[in-house]
Amino acid sequence: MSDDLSYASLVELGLLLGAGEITSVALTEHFINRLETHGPTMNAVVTVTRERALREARQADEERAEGIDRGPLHGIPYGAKDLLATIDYPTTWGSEPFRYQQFDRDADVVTRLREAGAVLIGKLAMVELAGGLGYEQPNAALTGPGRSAWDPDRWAGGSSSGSGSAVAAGLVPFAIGTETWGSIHCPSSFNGITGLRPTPGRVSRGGAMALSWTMDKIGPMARSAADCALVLREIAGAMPGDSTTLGQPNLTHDARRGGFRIGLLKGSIAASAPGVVANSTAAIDALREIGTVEEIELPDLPWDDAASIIIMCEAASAFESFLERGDGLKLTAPEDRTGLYHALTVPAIDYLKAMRLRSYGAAEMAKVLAGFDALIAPAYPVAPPPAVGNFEAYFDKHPGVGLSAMGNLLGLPSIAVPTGLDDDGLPSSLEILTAWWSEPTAVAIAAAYQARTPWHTAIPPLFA
Amino acid sequence: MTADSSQMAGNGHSAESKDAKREIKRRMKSIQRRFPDRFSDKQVDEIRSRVARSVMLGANLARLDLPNGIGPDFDPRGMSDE
Repeated sequence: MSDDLSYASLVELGLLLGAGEITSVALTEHFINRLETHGPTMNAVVTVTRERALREARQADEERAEGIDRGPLHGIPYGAKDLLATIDYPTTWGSEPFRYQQFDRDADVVTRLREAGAVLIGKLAMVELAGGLGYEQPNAALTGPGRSAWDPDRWAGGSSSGSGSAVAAGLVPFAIGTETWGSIHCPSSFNGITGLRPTPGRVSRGGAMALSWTMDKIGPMARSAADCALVLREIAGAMPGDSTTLGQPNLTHDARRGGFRIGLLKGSIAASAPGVVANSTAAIDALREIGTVEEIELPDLPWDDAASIIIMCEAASAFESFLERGDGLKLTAPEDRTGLYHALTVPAIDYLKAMRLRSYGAAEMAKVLAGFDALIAPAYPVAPPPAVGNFEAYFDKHPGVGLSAMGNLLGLPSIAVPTGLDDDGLPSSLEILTAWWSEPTAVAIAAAYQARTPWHTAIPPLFA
Repeated sequence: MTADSSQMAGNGHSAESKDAKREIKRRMKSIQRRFPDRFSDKQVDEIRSRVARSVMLGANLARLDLPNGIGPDFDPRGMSDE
């Protein structure tokens, strides 16, 4: 089986399946083999769902033979972050206390993908409890520190660590990740892949672990904006299991290939490490070919502080019984074992103020966004840190100026796209953030950018 | 939230002003009352550090003077043109 399949686009895989040049069973076995062979190098996998995968793949082949076409993902394998419930396999939430947890249902997003004919081949590694307890170093998961596909001595990012590294290393054609604050963009940036964080409510969170009800988002991670768009189209939409998805605007299509008005966050490039500066500068040169780029500033509001208060309060509430029982003491990272107890004492007035800041900030940002198709900034100001040691020492060198706190607080959609490698061969990314429900515009800009740049096609040397 | 948030803000730069210390102590008592004998001394220090930070975050937000009409019920569906 050719290794070209490992890095083929979803459209290419779909064409091969449609033409009968490969079966879904053969494709599934190919990726299962890669997941089992290479996954351990990056601590990317919790469970390979072999039995279920082969059953779904056989069904896909039988349906295709009968002329049934479920769409572009029919017969294509994928991996799911292990905070998404799946029948018949444990859903560990990346954590020792939930190592044997089982649900009697699939998460809504897994159901959507099953209905689209996609084939689940693995539950992918994540930072324990999606990082909500305040981890400070890479060894904060049941499966050990996630490792970047570009250098296993570097951290894969989190909390969707396995989703990021598995896509980058060609172990799955696409994966599902989640983001409360950074958890799609971080592993996308640290693994050189494309990750799309939608508006909250675009994709149902039914059956997904809740960390923060008002800030959790589910989104696709893949090798291109086009692939992310294909997956989003299949997983988006109203589902009764998540009332925030009801009444969502239609997911349209932005056919533009140029003429975009882009706002670059002032100071965001300069605040980054030298390799990220160089890569971002080249990326912006490419963006100038498809539109205008001018500097912007955000309204001067305490975005980080409000986001922090909201997440800590909602997470403490979501995990209140867990904390009461003392189950946190069994977590992997020592600092996680005392996480969230402080949040049990945050007064309601602080939480409400943070929520009101969100309402106020949204109105202010709507005025800024009215003048642009998108805002951009480096997704992260640094390359992936070492897979050992405290984060503070590494990240403090370049604390960065970014869109992440504001974007996640307000629920603005954003796509992270690779911007190349630094002198150490490590990846970085740019994030392209748009107005609420404007995922199609984020994708259109990212796709036009990727039509002009090669970085999203790069293959990590270890897995070439 | 302490009544005198302006004093917390006024010295500005540390979460350990008199009011902040009082609030941190109050919150730590609440935690230790709720979870007696659960934590080592080192763990108590870790929790105290996080309490201190959350007290500081609250003080930062308290400086904001938001109009009465701004509520906590933001919904992205209200930001659509449809």
